[in-house]
Amino acid sequence: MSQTKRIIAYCCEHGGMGAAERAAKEQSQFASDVVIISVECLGRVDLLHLLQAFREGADAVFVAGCLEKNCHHLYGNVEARKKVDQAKRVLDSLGLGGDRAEMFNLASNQGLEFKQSVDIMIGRVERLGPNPLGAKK
Amino acid sequence: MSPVPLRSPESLVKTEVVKRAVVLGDGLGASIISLELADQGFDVDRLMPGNEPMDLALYAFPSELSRNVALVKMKSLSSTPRIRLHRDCTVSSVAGSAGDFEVSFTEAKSKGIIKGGAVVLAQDPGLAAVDLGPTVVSNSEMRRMIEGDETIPRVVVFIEGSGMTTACPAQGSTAFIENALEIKRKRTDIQIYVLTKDIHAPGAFERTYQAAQASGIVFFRGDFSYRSSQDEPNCMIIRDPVAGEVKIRPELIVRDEAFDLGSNSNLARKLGLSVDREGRILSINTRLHPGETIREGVFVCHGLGASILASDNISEACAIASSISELLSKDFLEHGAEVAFVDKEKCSACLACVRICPYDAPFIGEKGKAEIRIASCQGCGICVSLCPSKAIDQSNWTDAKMSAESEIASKGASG
Amino acid sequence: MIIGEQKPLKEICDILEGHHRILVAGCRSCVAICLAGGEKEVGILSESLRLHSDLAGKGWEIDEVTVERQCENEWVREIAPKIEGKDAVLSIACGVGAQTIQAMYPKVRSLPGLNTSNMGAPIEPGIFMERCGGCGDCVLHLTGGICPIVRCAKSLLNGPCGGSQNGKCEIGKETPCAWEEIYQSLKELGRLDLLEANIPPKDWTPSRSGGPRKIVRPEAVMSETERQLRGER
Repeated sequence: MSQTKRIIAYCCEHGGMGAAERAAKEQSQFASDVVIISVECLGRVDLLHLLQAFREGADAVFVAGCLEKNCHHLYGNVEARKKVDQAKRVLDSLGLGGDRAEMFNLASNQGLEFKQSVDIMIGRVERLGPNPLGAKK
Repeated sequence: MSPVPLRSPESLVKTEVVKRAVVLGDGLGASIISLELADQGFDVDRLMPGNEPMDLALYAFPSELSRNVALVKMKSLSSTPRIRLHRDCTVSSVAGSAGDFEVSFTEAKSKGIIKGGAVVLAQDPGLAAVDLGPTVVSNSEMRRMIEGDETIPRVVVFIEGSGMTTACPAQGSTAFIENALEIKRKRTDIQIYVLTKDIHAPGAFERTYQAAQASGIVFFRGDFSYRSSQDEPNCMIIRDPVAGEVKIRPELIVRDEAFDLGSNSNLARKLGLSVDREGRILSINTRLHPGETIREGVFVCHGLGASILASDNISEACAIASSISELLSKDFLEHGAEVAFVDKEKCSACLACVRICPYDAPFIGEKGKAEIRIASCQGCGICVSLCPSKAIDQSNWTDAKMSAESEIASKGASG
Repeated sequence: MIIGEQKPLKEICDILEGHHRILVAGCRSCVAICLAGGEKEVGILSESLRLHSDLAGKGWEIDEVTVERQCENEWVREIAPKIEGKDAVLSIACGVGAQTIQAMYPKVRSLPGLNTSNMGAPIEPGIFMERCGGCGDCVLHLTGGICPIVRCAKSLLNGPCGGSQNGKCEIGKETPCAWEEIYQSLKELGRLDLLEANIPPKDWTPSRSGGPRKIVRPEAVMSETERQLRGER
């Protein structure tokens, strides 16, 4: 697909941003723009933020945080996963496709896995098509 | 909506750091931490549950010399001016935050309070009650027999494992080497066998291990198995891939120590620390942040719960002392850059924030509404996201800023 | 407190059919605490509805408001500016709140976004269990503090039925038998003698199904004299 995809990644200052920065240093360019929003901990990210992103036209949104039991703040990543699961249900209910939202657990040195996460989301957007709300923005 | 991410001023709380550490424990770790910190110029109050520091029989040393050195160091505690020793102590509570703790305790029936900048729980776990029978002793009991010049039977077999499924600290079987060699040195006629899956012989232990092998101690390692003989009494049959089938008649069996890892859980809870299912106190990251727990300023030294080797204990203690001195060397601690704060008008006092916070920062205050302890808040934002009445916001990551960023990201991504 | 649960999103969208300028109204009281209708849920539901509207071309305008308690006229009166120009209010407070809004604003349709369920308590974060049946004739003193009306599936008053197995109710393995719990509680209290007390067949008059129940506190009712002296405010 030649059309540029809008992919947003919420990354925590620990596992998520670490992996993103590593990916930026090591890997070739991603096949699409990824806009990264950093937060101290994924626990801050709420369902509202995920839904807002889709309303504003994002094609896919993922959150990247620390490995399951390694959250710097104990369980902010687990909290985020609950919100992502909620987002999937709402997106499915609205017919947008729950696969547009995802959560990845990464260690701060997993640059390759970050790139792979982006590739997964790009693949999903290609399968589901662009967000219908993206065209008019 | 404004295209510029919104900022808010930082609210700061300054805590003056009390240059004193409160060390709880009577083992080697607590002693080393106290000595190291005193060396750095900090005052130390050491609270021991008993009357004397723990004896060194439980720890494994690579040689008699290193054991004696440690003993001398432990004795110097009482004469080091910066260290105050308290005996027969029970801690009742630890209030306050990093830099400014108040430890309430009883010392031999009288009550006391100490103010300190850092608190470290360095109490070794207690021994688990294990009854292994008359011809089995633990490794530390073996050490006491050696030091007490007791009569030792002619065939001694060291078998790794404690007879319990859990509570074995690391390097237990390495601890056998010191005792085995010591026995052999006193009585060359005693037959000694050591049965263990593997031997780690770090540092000076390597020399001890070589000496042990040279002295005639027989090591069974790797893929061996053993059982009691059906036909002969008191006979053990070992099947080893190299030696084949070997019959021995052990007169004394020595096993690993068994610790009750949960023996500190009550004290841990008083300090606001979490314990896992086996009772171990959780620390953040033993490699990158030695001794640090979820509560800033409260440290934990696992000691014998982590390893039975004296060298491991000393290393851990030195690392923790280093973490603590980093904290105590600051004159002020500043908090507030990324903290959460409550709008009391909106608060429903539903307790969601109180129940979820990893740091126990929120509490219901006098007005019946939630408040956040600034010095405890680590800015994770979990409560902000969770609050059902949107009463909590976070400086630096306000709701308005999150919405603005999301808008820019979604709209601007096409480039 | 009152426990409720939001209706499924699809059902809410169907209910809103035909309306365009919608006010989503929440409450800071019970429904906030059971995580169904507080300001946060108002925000999330509103955003979901806007998403649906954008995707399906509904042209909905969604506004948001949350009041301290949606059952109190004073607070509901305050949202008059928000009601202005709306053709529907989607209330995610309890049924009481939704009705209070309708009574205050008879020209604007009040729609329920919440299914109000029961009176209960959080037994752990996120898990709410029904505890009280609102029967109007409490016998907790005879049952060791365990309500036999709602916690027993058959609302039995004098002991378990034959379906009680291993302390569980026959309706499911996860439901404790209330009379087992009552027995254990009375045993702990040392008052098994209370089991001897025969609770007679229940007088359901003070309970629901018989018209709306009215409870009066005479001391708090304003007398005619007081009304005259106070005048209209």
